[in-house]
Amino acid sequence: MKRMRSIIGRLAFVFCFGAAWGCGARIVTGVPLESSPVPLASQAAAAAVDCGLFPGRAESTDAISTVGLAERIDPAHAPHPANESERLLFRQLYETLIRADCQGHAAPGLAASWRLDTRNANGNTWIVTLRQNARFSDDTPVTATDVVSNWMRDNGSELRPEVGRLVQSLVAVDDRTLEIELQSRRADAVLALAHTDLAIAKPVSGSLWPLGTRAARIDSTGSSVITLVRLSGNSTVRFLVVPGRDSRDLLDQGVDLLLTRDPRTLDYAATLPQFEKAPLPWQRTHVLLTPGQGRAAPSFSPEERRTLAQDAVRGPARGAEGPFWWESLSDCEVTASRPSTQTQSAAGSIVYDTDDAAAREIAERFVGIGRYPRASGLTGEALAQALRRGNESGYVLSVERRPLDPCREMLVLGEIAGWIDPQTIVPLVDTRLHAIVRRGRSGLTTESDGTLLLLPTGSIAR
Amino acid sequence: MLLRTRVLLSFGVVVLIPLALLAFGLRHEMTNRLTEEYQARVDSVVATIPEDLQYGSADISARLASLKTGILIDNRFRQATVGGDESERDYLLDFAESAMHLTGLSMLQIQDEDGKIISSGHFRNEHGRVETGLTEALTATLKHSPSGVALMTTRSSDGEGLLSLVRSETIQLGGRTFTLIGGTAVDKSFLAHLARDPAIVVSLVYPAGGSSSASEQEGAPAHNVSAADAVVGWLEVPLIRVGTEPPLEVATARLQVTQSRAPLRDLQGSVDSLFLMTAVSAGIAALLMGAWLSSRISKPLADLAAKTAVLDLDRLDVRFGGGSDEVGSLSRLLGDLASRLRTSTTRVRDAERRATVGDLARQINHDIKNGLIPLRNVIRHLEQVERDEPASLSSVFAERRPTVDASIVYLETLATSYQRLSPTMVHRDCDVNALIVEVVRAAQGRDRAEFATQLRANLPKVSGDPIALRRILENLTVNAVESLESKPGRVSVITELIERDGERRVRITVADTGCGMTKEEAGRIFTDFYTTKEGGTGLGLSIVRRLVMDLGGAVAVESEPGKGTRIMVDIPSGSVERK
Repeated sequence: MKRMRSIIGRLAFVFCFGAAWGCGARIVTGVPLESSPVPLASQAAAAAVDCGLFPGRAESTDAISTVGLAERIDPAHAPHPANESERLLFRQLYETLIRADCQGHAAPGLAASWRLDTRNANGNTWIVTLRQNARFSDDTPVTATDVVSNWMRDNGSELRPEVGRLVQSLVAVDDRTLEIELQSRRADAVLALAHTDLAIAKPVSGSLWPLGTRAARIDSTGSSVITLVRLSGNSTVRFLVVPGRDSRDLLDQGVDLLLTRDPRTLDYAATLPQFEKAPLPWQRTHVLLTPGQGRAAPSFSPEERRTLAQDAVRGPARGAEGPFWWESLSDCEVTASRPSTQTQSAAGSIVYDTDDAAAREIAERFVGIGRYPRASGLTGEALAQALRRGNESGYVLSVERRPLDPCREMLVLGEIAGWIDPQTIVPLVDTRLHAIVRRGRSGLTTESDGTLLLLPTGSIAR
Repeated sequence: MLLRTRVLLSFGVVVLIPLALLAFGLRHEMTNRLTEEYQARVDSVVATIPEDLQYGSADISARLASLKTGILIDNRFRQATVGGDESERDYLLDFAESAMHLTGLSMLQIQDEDGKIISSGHFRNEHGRVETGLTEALTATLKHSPSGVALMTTRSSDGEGLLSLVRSETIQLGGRTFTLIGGTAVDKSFLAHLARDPAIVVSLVYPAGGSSSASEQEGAPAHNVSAADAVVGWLEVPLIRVGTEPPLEVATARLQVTQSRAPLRDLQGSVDSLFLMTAVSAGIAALLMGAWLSSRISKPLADLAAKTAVLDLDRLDVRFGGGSDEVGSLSRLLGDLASRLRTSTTRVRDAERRATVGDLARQINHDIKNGLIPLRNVIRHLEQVERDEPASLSSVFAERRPTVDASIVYLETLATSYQRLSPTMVHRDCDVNALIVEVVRAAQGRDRAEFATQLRANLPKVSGDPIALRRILENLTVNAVESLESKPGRVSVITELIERDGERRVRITVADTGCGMTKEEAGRIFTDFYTTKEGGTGLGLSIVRRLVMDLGGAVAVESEPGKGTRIMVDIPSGSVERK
């Protein structure tokens, strides 16, 4: 019965959400049109959506105790992740005001409730109320002033640039209440508050790790092990950090959880009976950026995209499926792109990010079928410069498939290269991670960006 | 030509010319030998390269055969290719890459009978591309290749292409024919292995490409090296170019084996530098030797010649030094000669003096006797008359008086005549300072005397015989120089105006820093025939005194042994007219 209710609820919700997305109606997910706070009951209903990694499976008592991470972790980045491994680890420590659950619904995070401020004519000001028992992991209370100071520069007079892409202004009305004016006027604009750029953390002297507001804290760090301790129950989660090594070694070392898109690791996990695999949401879309207005950008039919994913990409991939967020930016105030000042060479290369295996495979496939004469792999500043110049035949990059704030994503792309605009973005292939989980482990839930939560969401209320 | 110049030239000829001949000869021989050796090395490598390529090609063939065996028993491969099982598609697409790594190949592609690439190890995502005719072209090329090997360029994702030494293997599977084309990369390390020797550079030149076993930093030779830069050998290898326009082309690649002449040039440079340094050192040594010989031979000889030139009967006071060498011996001989000459000259002068004095004495004796004999006779007659006839004494005296008068007149005339023998003095106005300048100028350069003059300006003229005055100055200066005894010393000539007894006089002082005299010696120096010098006449200063007195002047001497001597000559000043 419970399962039936869950399915019906999910179907209804998807219908409503889809309609809202397509029509652009000003229906805020989880928030009725009336300007009243989202009651906890509604939130509880939203939270009833089963975002467990293995939906419908009964909870077990065995929680995840060891997690394998194949990328470098830098505490200086906290709470804003720079790679998938940091995203997973930081998500266990730091919260945003609002979460976006696996269905893309706004769910309570650090905030207990939020409402559109109808007194404000601009239509993008929200009154957000922090949850009553919000505390940092050192048990100090989290106040609205903490949120404000987190989002401000060190001088305290202006927002940090990455915050400024999402938020226009904010004011601490009282200890628990914030008045936030968002940049976006989209119907789902409040989801922007779930962006990791807005995660809340408190720096601590003498520690590289700032304090978060989740029910966990860093217990110890070593050269390749980071230990998290759950504040309730005192159990720990060990994160084994082995950048650059074969991730199959982590399986052999006995981790409980490993996220990967490497086909060899997935194939190896399939041979290990103690593990099971679960695909995570399609998280990234690989696109072809074609600089130069006036030149007809290539387009690929869904069938061609499917074939490309099948022929080129070795890991989990499919042809990119719409709708594509860059095709519906009418509500965004996006600066018009500047055409590339460089002349595109007819015999130029197709450039890809060397750190992105799928991008490399796609670019090489284009060369293999003769679409481009050569592929060039770049990374870091070299890639940034190449993008700014925009004088290559094409660029294969990956973008968020379902960004929390599409306007912000377009803004970021524009900052990367002024010539990028929606007309220059050609969708190719969607990719996703798989979670390899030791059988019998539970407590894993997914969020809209595919990140896993190791802690039950109920632990938010301490 | 000076001795120094002759010595230098001789040294140069004796040392530098043989050195240069040695240098050029050695360099030429070294160049020839090394060039021959380089050529032999290059020829040796060129001869062994075909063997190495054949060995490599055979190895590739063996690996493909091994791979073929593996494929034939691989069910998944069969399912993917013959069975068309889509579920094994990924397996098939990744197969060539795994197989390539397992067999140690650098490139591997598997084509079906239509030439379509079904799996590529070196460029995974080119699967599906069709290369028609490649297999046939490769087979034909291998068959006709003189070395039995073939190279092939295949496409790569970076557009650079991959050049490989290739072979092929055909597989029959389920009624279908598949071709394995595999090879090892012909890259820098491959060419370096062919070269064997790090000094040898093997380059591969082919249309629209090239590779070398040396990096650009190591000075990889240009493809068109000149004979001056390197010793070159080459051989040709067939090359199949894939992915070009036209899509398939059989060309010829050229393996160029190069031995740079740079080490030889470096060696030549080092040898040249060494010989140059040696020549310069020899030149400097020659110069130093010449200078040393000059100082040891030429200069002493020149000094000796200068002293000998001064040597004269009037200048026998020149002192010749000694030495242990031949010049010293010559110098001692000349010194002995001068000494004997001085002795002889002294004797001769003594003899002359005695002869002259003797002659004069005899003449005077004769003339006086002539004058005295009549006087004696008259005296004797008068004595006799006084004895015998004293009363007739006065008459006899009166009678004999003319004879006495005549003798007396004869003797007076004789005296007057002898007085005329001395030259007569001419009195003129004489500029003493000018005379001193002339005399000092003439005397400079004698021995090691340094002359100094301190002449009073506007000195009044003196009245006298300029020749006599000159003789005075010359004798005084000669005497002063001789007192230095050929050692370094100073002769000063000073003029001043003094007043004595109400009369103004020009005082000429000749001072020396010579050996000086004792008081006794100083009191006798103006005496005729007195001398302290070996071979001296003893008349110099006596003549001076006489001449000074003839001028109405006076002469005085001050001396101290070891310190020097001052001779002061005072001559009344005033012109002839005033007098």
